[in-house]
Amino acid sequence: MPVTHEAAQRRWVMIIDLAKCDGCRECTRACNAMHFIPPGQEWIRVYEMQDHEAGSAYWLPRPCMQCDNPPCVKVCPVSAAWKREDGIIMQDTERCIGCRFCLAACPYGARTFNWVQPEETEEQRLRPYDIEWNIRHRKGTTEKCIFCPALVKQGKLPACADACPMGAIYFGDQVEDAVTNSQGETVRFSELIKEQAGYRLLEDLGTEPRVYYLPPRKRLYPAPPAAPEPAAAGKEHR
Amino acid sequence: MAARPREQFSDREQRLLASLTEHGPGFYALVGLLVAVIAWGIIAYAMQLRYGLGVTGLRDNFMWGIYITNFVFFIGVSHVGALMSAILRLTGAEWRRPVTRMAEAITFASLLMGALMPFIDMGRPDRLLNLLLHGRLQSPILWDMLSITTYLTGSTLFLFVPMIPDIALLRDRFADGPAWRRRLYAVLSLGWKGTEAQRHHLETIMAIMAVLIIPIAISVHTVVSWIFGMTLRAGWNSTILGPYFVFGALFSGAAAVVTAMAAFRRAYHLEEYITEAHFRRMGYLVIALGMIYAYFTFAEYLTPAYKMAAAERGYLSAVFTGQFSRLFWFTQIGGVLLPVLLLTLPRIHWMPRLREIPMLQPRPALATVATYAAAMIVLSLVAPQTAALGGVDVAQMITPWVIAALGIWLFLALLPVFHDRPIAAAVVASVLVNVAAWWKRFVIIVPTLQNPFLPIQRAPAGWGIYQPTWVEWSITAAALAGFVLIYLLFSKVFPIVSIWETREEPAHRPIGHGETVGVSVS
Amino acid sequence: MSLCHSRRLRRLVVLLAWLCIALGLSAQPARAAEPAKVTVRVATALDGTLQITAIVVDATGAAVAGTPVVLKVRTTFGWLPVAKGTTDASGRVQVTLPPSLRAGEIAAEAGEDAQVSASIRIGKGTIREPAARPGRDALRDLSPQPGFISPYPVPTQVGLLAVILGGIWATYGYVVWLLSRIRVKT
Repeated sequence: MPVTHEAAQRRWVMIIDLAKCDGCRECTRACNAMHFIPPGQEWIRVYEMQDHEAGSAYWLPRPCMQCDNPPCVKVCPVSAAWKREDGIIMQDTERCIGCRFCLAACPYGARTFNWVQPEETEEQRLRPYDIEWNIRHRKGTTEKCIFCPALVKQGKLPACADACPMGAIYFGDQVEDAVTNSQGETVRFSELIKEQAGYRLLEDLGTEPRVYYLPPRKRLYPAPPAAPEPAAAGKEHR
Repeated sequence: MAARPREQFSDREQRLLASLTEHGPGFYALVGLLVAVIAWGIIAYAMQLRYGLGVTGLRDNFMWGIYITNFVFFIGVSHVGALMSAILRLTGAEWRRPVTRMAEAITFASLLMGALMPFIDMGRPDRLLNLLLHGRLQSPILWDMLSITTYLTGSTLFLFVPMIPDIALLRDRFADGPAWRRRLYAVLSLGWKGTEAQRHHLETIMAIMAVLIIPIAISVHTVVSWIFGMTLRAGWNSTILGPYFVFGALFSGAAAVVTAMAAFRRAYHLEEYITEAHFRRMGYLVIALGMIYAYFTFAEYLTPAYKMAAAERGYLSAVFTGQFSRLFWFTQIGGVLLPVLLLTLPRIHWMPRLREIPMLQPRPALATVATYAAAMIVLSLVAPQTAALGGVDVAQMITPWVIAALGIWLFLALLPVFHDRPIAAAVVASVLVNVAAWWKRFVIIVPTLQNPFLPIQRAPAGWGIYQPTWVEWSITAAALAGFVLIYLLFSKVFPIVSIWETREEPAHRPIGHGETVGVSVS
Repeated sequence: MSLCHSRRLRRLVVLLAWLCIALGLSAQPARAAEPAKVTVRVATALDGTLQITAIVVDATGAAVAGTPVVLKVRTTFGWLPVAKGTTDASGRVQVTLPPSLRAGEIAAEAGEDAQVSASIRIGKGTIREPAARPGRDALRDLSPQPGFISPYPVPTQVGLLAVILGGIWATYGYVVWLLSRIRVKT
């Protein structure tokens, strides 16, 4: 079992089975609801991808990869982004100075920025600022998916994994070598990756992400429609 | 120490101190305009502070835009001080003497504006102290902070120290102006008497600073380039970004000095001190730096274009033939090729013979170009209907070719004109260089951001493309106005041409038009 | 004749009935009993391996053989199946698990449809929560550049920068000192 750190109690890891993802974006909705995310931001974004013309089109949910060689942590001038012992890259919006270097450095585009002061609901205002819940948002700071440490601490799956009606998102501890999905299915992490040839996004960049994907082979749900137009000036996008 | 009346200045000194004494209405009008632009910029920034960076055109996909363009541009222009004062001094180029202070003042003013830009770009400027309290030395932004403050200090020293003898001169003999000015001169002159020991110290300082400032200047723009170079994005993930930016900076800085030289020469009648020979030599510098810069650009774009790797295909197509192609080719043709041609071709001795070609008479040529331009504009308004009919956007297709043809024609017609006016040619060239330099920084930043690894999808309306707003343009204009204002005010308080350095050894002064050797030395 | 017939007939019917009962009784041992309860026992061997025994019994307490049993281990979010077996004649399934298994709870599910289950607590206490900010470099063993991206100052880097920048600023100080010498020399 890959225990890489002496005191590593946990190493969170996520597997997303692309054969099961049907692009319903329930994960995005659940994440946006749980964190009261301002409009326009998506911390887990479901892309419509097609690797090459002859390849299959598929849906790709992309949370923050919580990289083990994180470009964002390297460039933050005030250490507002740092890697916790359990593998999560935390974001301290009390310290962030809003330079947006981490947004520039992240190759996955997983980070978002609060360009204006987001509107807060009553419910939000009652909650204190907590770095593990990420519910209060501040103008001029960067935010991103942090694998819901507040939920995970209570033994619950992160919001996206829990909300997926297809059970496509597995989440677990690499030290325990077990990942679970919303259907209660628990499997051995190493076995699942080996059997289904799990891979990581943009592996060549060497960021060592902690989110693995299972190829969309023998997919259970229909593919997205023909490759979408890239976003152009002023055009409304799905 | 009694202040002696102005008549005590020699003609030469009076000429060189013209900038301090002449206060025409033009000056006040210009200052008024600059202050107005700066005030408007401050209002724009206040809007940004109040409502957040959302008032700009920046969004999650293009998180850096006009502000960082300004940052890179101004820090780039600031390299000319190190070039002129330090490198030319170390290589013994005596012709530099009248223009070193102009160059150093440009460095000072533009460093101030450049260093201001990242703070304007910050989302939380109220948390500025975090940079000092929790600063991480591994971040390129910290390297920026350290090297820019070091360079600013060095440049200020390098600007101030050679001014000491001139300030002493002003302290002794300049009775004009309010009391604060005389006090300023008294304090800043550090009790300079021109003694042997003092001169010795001055020369030591100049020698030390000349050697020290060069690596600092190189490091400044290298670490500025590394805010791009240290990311993984296609287009920024380049090994030669450091040297590329340094030479781009030297190129645009040298051109800025040419513009400043021409402006002060015209405004204060400094024809004897800033001669055509100076423009010729600065022209050589600009040409040489332009060639090196073009070489770096060529290497930077040809190398990935040969391979067309998937990650780089997007931004390369956008830059060569797509969304940013007009800007890119303008910066290369209009920003490098054209200035170099303007600096070299008019000097060819048979240029005036071009006037014999009837087609190339300047006035008819200009008239024809104007007519064609008007026709093109009309055509572009009418063309959408023709495109709907024929399916081929004829206007779109022929526009670049027509513009190129007209441009070449106009260029050839103006060449004989520039042959007679080499300084005008140099000014046009230098202005083109700097305008193109600003847009080139834009072209470095935005196309890469528009072509990330994962496609831009599900962006709200208007978040798919970078559209700068009035706030960003206002702040850019205010930064430029601030730069000019600082420079202008500097020229009002201190002599813009070094009096004591141009006084030494008349034999070393370059021979220009109508200048006699052996002017009376006071 | 009728009387002899009826007596023979009655004897035949009784014989048949006894035959049926005998058949019925003898068929019972061939049919498996319903598992009603499963017990899990854990024994730790000297080398740390866990020997897990699951015993399946029916309602009367008799052992049930041939029942599939799945052994599961409690993970943070669910139950991970680690072993499968079928009960032997004494209704037992024995599995040995390696010692590196950080298990807190082990459960056994018996029966075709996993009708019965039981679990047993083993293992140490709770896992330590990660510190708010890492007390030591959390990336040291992971990153290809172990020290470089640390949140904490790296001695080599700091030293190098201090030497270079310190040298430059010391030279500035020297220059300023020289300026002050100019001032003094009146």
